[in-house]
Amino acid sequence: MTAFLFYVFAALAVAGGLTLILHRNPVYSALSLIVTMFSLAALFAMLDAQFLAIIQVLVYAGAVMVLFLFVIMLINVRLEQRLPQRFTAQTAVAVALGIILLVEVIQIGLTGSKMLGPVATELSAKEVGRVQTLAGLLFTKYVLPFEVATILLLVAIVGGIYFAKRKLR
Amino acid sequence: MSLTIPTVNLAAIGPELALTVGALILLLLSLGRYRRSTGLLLAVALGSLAVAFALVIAAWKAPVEAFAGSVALDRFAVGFSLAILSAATLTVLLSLNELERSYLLLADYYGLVLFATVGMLFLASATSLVMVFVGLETLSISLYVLAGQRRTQASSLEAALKYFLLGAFATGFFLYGVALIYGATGTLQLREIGTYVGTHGIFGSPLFAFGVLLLLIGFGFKIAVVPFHMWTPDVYQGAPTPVSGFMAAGSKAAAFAALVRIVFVAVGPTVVNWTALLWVLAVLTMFVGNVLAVVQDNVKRMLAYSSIAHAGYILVAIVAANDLTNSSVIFYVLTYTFMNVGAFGVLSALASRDKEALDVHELSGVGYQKPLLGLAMAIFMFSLAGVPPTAGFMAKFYVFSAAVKAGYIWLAILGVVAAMISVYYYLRVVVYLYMREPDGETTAWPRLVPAVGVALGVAVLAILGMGVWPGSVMGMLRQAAALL
Amino acid sequence: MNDFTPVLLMFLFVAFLVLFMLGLSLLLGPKKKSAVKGEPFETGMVPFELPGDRFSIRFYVIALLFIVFDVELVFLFPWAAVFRQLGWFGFAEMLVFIVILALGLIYAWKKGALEWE
Repeated sequence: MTAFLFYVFAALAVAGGLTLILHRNPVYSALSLIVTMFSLAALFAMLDAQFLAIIQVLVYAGAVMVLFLFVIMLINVRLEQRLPQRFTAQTAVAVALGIILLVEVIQIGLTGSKMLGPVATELSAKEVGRVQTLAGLLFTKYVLPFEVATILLLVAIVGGIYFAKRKLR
Repeated sequence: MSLTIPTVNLAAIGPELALTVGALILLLLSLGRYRRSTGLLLAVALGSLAVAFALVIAAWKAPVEAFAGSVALDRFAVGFSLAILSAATLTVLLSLNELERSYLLLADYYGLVLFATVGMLFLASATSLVMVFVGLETLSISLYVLAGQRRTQASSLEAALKYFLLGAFATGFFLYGVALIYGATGTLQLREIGTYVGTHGIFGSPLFAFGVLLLLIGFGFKIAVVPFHMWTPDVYQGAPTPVSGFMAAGSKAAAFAALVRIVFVAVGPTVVNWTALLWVLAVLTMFVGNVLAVVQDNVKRMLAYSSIAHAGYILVAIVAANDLTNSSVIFYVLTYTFMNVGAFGVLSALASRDKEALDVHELSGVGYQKPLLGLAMAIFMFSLAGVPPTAGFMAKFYVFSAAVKAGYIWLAILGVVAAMISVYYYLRVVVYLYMREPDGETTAWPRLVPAVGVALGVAVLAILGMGVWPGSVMGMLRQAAALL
Repeated sequence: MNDFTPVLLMFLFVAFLVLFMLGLSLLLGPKKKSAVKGEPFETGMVPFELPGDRFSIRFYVIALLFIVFDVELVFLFPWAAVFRQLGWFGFAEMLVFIVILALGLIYAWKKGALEWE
């Protein structure tokens, strides 16, 4: 059952990704990204990473996608502009790198995770994604990075207002 | 589930705390009727920087580690923090020149400068990879906004956008590297990663080796090492001049602090495996930076390429990986801060509301029309070129002698050759300052703002002082070699 | 199977319900096509421009601020799961967090970023 669900959501994620890059209307692309995000969230949930799954929906499928759509509407692209395509050195490098990556993925898929070496964590796989476990670490061991992240967010607010506001006081 | 509350020792983050409070006050002031009272804003910015200086110096006597191994304000961090705080202080003063005063919203601007400084200080004292990441992001996001401060000028916005896009890209690499390292070792603490490397070796798992590589690429972008340097010229050229100086000196000091700490604490035990890679990067960076700087007419662009070259010199000391490395890197970073922020400072002091003299031809005869500024610029150029008795000479001397002591004689020779190329373009500026007649009508240079004059004077004195008595500074820094 | 099974079941149910209702109206609804029905309807007027005008950048500011505060919320959620164990320490750290971000809100407010200028 789990394996079946995995394949369903994995296929959905890939389908969303393909639609995203192949569709000519940017709004459709953005919406198909939501499909990918949701499927990924489902995959995270199946891996017992509950917190990540919720964040994926809340922040990515929710907030970030809203911003994407706003930006698309802001610059008002109806259909993707087709630029004359030429085969440049850049294309060649990109294709070569893409093929290497594909080979790698297939290789890892075939040999399993043996090739990557052992994965070490402080916790067992079951509890690592629990909200309590994450919170227990975030608010004790990683309290300083957590507080500095506030400054990060504050700077982001200041910067966003600075660039997007027409008249500044 | 029982939770262990970590040791909270505010002394370990005292300087950052002081600057954060200062920055928050500045942001609040920007909302009220005091937003235009320059004196008050300057007092808040300089006051919090002074407190931070005092706390950093106090930490020299009593190094502290706190927050479950997230930060350590040790002597190593103190050395880099002094460079960072100097860069910030000089930038705060230099930004009061005529051109920048005409458009900067000073309260918000100073707030962002202080926030960037907070990020830099955290990088200098971070002992865990999350902390390095958060510090790096705080400083980067602040700098993206600072680069675009001149909202009405397209080149400034272009600089901000370019810096943001490539910076975000670099962050992606960095974060991916951190994730892989965490996956392989199960920890983010540098010292524990070091223990892992001690038992497994750096190629113990492909996951780990790849993670370290991605981490290096991320750092390469941030410190503008060839081949990750492409963004530097456009960004330094487009950003407001004082910001360019701050960006070059401050973020370089901070990122090198974190890089040295990661290389020696986390990857340390088998550092030999990586030196070949770093060796190549150092040579490439020195030569590409210097050779491309030769053909630049725009002084800001030239200084951008020169900053790439200087990153190369610092990498030489890291390749050496011996007892001279830490002290010579800190000495270099301190020197670079004064001479580089100073050089950008002179350019900004020459910028009036309607004319920015950025081309080297436009500097013709400045040495006679503005004798003090001309002299300061000449000293900064001599120091950047590494001419004795300036600090720039001693900085290069220490870096290259670290390489020689470690047996990298060829690397040192290549470094000296690269430095000799650089003499051409630095002295070219001096030639224009003193030996060329100004073409066409005489430019009306702006009056020197006292705060800018003070900052440039301090930078000149620091360069000459460190150049004439390098021994005493170096003696202090030797003790900074010990990492907590 | 884990705690998310009910969520999955609900998704399946919703998907079924939606398809069922759409299918039902497709099957049972009367279909009469005419040219007039295909026209866009705008209070009886013939529309003079295409919809999908450029969006104002004002939306962008709002969306941006929303994301930042959304991320803040993300931190609050795990905190709620452990704040009893953390005690006053947890209270203090969240207080610092909220106060600094409240300053951000005040900043945005006073700078007029929340106003529809």
